[in-house]
Amino acid sequence: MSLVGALTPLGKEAHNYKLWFRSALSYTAAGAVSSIIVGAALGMTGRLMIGGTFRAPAYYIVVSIGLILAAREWNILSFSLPERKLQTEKFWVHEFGFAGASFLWGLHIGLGFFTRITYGGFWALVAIVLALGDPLFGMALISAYWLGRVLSVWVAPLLLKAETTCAGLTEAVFDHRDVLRRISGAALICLSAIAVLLARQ
Amino acid sequence: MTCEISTSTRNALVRTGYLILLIGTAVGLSVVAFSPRAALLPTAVIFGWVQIGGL
Repeated sequence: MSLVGALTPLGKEAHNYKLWFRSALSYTAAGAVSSIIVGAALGMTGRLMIGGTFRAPAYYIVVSIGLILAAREWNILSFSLPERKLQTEKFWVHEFGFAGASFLWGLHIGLGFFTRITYGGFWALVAIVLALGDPLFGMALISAYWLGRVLSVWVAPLLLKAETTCAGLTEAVFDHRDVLRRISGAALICLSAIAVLLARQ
Repeated sequence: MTCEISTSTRNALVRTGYLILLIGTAVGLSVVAFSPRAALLPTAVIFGWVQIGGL
């Protein structure tokens, strides 16, 4: 669950704020490196694969992908996303400690393609980065995605009251997965609308 | 204890999610007038945030 369940207890239950901070920072920095690499690679691939003539049709393909994924998020369509049904390696914490493992988790999860995806937004982003064919902007876009992912790690401890424990945090978030799916669907519609604007430019 | 945490935490998390969506939409709409590309950035942040509900 975006490492929230693993890292939050460090600060709130164990009161090891220094370790929590180092771990969260390692996770954030490592994931940013992976995101930059993935964004640049996708942007470069898009530049090489999609020439200027095909740019507009590519945006309309992104619109279709965005709308189909939005329909999935709103339970209008039902299909499985292409994903590796794997989580990151939990045993790293035993070998490298929390800070070291957080760094590796960030590198691994930040790559995007090698762990569970759950929501369709990631694939829509991949599609639009390919369509844009701009490595620099691809880096910015995938990094922004990573920023959103790590935001929960930084915000979760602030949301928990000091006197409470972290038990039930994962379940509490899971109870609201439908809300998150609807938000994801709304964002996919936004992305589709932006892709239309890009196609008409 | 778990129920108490769940209620406060879930409400806070959901409120934060909606707040991010609201801010993202506002930023997106204002930015889209100047550059549709730039409007993709807050959208990407939202896609990342919702992964909190992923595994």
